[in-house]
Amino acid sequence: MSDEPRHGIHKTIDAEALLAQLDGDAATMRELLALYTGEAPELQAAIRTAVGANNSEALRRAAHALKGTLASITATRASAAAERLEALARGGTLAHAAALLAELEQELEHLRLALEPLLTEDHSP
Amino acid sequence: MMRGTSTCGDGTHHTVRLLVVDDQVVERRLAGAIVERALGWQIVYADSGRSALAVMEHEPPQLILTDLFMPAMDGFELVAAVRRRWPLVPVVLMTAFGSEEIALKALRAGAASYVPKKNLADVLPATMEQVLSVARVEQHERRMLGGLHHAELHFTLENDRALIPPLVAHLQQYLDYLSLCDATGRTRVGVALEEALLNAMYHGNLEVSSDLRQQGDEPFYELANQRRREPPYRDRQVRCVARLSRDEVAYSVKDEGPGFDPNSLPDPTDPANLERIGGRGLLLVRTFMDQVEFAAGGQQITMVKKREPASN
Repeated sequence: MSDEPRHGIHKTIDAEALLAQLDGDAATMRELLALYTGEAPELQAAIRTAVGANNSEALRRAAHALKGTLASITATRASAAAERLEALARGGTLAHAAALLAELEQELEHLRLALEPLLTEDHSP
Repeated sequence: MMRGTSTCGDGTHHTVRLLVVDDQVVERRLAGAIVERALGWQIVYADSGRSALAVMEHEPPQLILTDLFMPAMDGFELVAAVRRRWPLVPVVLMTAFGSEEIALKALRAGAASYVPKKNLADVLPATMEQVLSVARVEQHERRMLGGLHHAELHFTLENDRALIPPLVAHLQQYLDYLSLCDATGRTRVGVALEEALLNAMYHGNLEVSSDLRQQGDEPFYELANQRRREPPYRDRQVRCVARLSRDEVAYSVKDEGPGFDPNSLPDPTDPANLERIGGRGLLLVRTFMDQVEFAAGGQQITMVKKREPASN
């Protein structure tokens, strides 16, 4: 990723931290991000379905799964948005779920844009 | 030591295999990649406790790293299952931030250690190496004890029932070392030993009658506690001798009470006596052990368990 800050994208994912966790292995980082890209639609759909069905237990499980996956790839802002949905679902009432879902989806869209260059760029030292 | 390997006693190197279990593919791949990169270990993956057990059946790894919450068999159930079937394979748990209480519960259930998922790269490699090195010592100790073929142990106990469970657990370990029976046989021997030791303490040394127990536990234990402090009961001891070999184990439990006529015991095979507490203990002993004999005027019981045919 270029060092030039891009609005709303720069903090979306901390690629340097992720790369450091993998001891500088750029190929594995790309593999992880590609795995996320493959998984994301299903995880996101599970959350949407749970909110639509007003099913707090299904929402708690789906949001927990997405939160962990996002945290693993250092997408901390999107992970925090998923965590807010998980916390709401744990409380049992899904008032405000739609607003939190919109927030999450916005973060996931930022993430999708931020991942595009990372999935192709060579980050090896 | 070569990277990614552990050294055996004969100097050969073996690649270390780690099984990573998590229902989320990105999370399990990250954990695996961190260890792969830092330690050079071989990683195998499973997406649930159930599929982890399938991997274990096929080719058990040296260690398991697992998530706690998964749909098909969670981390707790996996710890319990691995502990039963593969007690020498340590299980390390990955926990989400803030779930230390859950981690503590898992450690009590038999997990070897835990790592927080946050900052995984900082703690995971060192934890894996530490757990592997402890497990290695245990695995070698177990191999060494597998060479045990004969032992005789003598214990003298005061009349405190708190001493019985640790003695039983200690003696049960030798059944594993000698590969004398399976897990069910091990449990049954444990039950028989416990019944014999309780009988020697309460009925033999303290002379508390089973009849008292038909009225409930309270008067029974009240009298027992009182007698533990009074002569002549307080000076009496229980002697337990275990003679162990690869063919059979023989346990003798002797008390210093007045003894009894074993023929006066209610017939334990008579269903009417199953309801009676004293009869029940003896029925369990007779059922679980291959040979039971009384001697020294009823003061001593000797129980023999022979090697089960399927064990080797």
